[in-house]
Amino acid sequence: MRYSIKQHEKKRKKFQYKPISLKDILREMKQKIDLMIDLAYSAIKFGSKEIADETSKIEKRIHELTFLLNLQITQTQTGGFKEAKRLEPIVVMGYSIDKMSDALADIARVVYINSDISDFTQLLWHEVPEPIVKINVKKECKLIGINRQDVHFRSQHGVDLIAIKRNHNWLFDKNNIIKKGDILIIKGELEPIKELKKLTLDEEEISFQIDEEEKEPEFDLKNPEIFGEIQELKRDYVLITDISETMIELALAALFFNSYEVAEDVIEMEALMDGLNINFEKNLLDFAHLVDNPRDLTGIMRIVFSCELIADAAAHLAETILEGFEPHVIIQKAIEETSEIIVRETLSADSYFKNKTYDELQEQRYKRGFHIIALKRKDKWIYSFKSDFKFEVDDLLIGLGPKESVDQWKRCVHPKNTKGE
Amino acid sequence: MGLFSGTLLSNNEKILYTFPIILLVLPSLNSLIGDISTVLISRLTSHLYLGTLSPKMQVSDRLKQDFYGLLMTILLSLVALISLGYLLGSVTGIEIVNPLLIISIIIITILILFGLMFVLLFISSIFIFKKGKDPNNFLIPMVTSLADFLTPMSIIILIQIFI
Repeated sequence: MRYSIKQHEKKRKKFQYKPISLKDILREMKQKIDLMIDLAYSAIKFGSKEIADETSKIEKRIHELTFLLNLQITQTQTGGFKEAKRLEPIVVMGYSIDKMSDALADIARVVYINSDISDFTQLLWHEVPEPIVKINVKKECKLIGINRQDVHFRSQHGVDLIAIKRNHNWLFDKNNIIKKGDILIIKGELEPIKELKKLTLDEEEISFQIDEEEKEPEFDLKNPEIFGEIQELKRDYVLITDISETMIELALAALFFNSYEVAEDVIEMEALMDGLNINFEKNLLDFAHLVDNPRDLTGIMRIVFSCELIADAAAHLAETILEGFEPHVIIQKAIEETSEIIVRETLSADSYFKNKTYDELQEQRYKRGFHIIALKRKDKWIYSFKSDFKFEVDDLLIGLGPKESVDQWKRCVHPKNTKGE
Repeated sequence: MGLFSGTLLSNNEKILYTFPIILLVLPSLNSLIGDISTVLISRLTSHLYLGTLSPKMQVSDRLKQDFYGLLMTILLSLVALISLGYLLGSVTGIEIVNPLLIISIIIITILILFGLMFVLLFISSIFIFKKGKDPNNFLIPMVTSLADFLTPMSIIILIQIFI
């Protein structure tokens, strides 16, 4: 008996305290959650258990960091109410990121629940603002032999490299060298993806087949009734996943800029998400009678529910601003130190963006790896852009992009403001 | 540490009697260095936990701000302390020998000790933080006793050098 208790105690994993500052913890959490978003959606897109496992690993790390964050805040010892009030947004940020990571890990774990829902996740992929696709590295591609970090995928090519599949192995390390025959899992807008495909000499049509063996489709997409219904569902699904992701970015932007208006919009989006979610669930249940085995829909339901949880966490983060808590300076510093940073700039009369459409700005010389997450025109905030949306003077842009090209992007938006930087 | 201070004071009884004004201001000088050092440790600890100061041996803007802030505080406190000390000395009839030299010794002592403490505490805080311990818990008790020893010792050494 005594022996078994000792064995049990040995097995019990103990929390390991590490002296890391709050700023470093927040920075790592932000970087990890950005990566988790991409990995979770890649896992369900390609039905990859290996990517799902990597997502779970990051989830565990974020849990550790949350414990550490709370411990460090307790140790920092507040100097009364005033100091405690300044630290409150840090607590909320840690808590919210932890909740988001739980939800994203649940999304990835869907590959374990449903053997394959990739039929559904791959459908209408081109309607997703930033789709996740695979790109093959062909012989004589210029990227062969280059460290993936040195390629600067976001700033130079406008896309993110999420993972590499080499033979039967998945590679997630940031220092991998690109080799012939690698399959790159890429996230980005359509035009940059096409450009990168040209560069890698990948002439194949965009497909999502990674394994050689053909999989049995889960849904009978040849049935016009099923296909019609599933298309409608997918459009709502794209909207829900896109809004939840935008909400994370906006909530962080609200915190970064201490913007009451953006925070208010995040709360509004959360209400919208509630409605979309309920509607989606109802439609999915209606659709169930068309499917041989309605249990196959569990995964889709869980993904949408997890998006709702992400939206709730983002709204919780935005609430701190609405409640009048001023974000501590280390939150801004931590976000600034991540590879992707949030910037805002007003479009000037001599701007390169002036009177250009959203489509025209997809060119790398304007885009510089930046994604416009919000735009304020007069008193109205706009968060999604059609391809013919025209940018005007005095538009306030909030962009999210790589640190290395921030000056170039700002110079495109407001040349005079950044002269000499 | 307290015993060392006591031994030091009793061994240099004659020097201290020669300048009775030193005896008047010594407790306040001990307190001044101790208090400033405590504030410094507390600030360094908070910066390290928050991340506004990296746990590296490097000069940063944050560190400079703290240095100049505390230096200003210590200089203003010294002006107040010396003025009040001499005023009290005059009122109570304590003999004031060579006032300019004594004032210079006091200022030099405090500035040397402040610089020494700043460097020592900065290095120690980083070391203790990296070990996963709270610098407040280790350094504050140590620094108060250390100040009680170092302040009279520096004054005595400087008196011996200059007089």
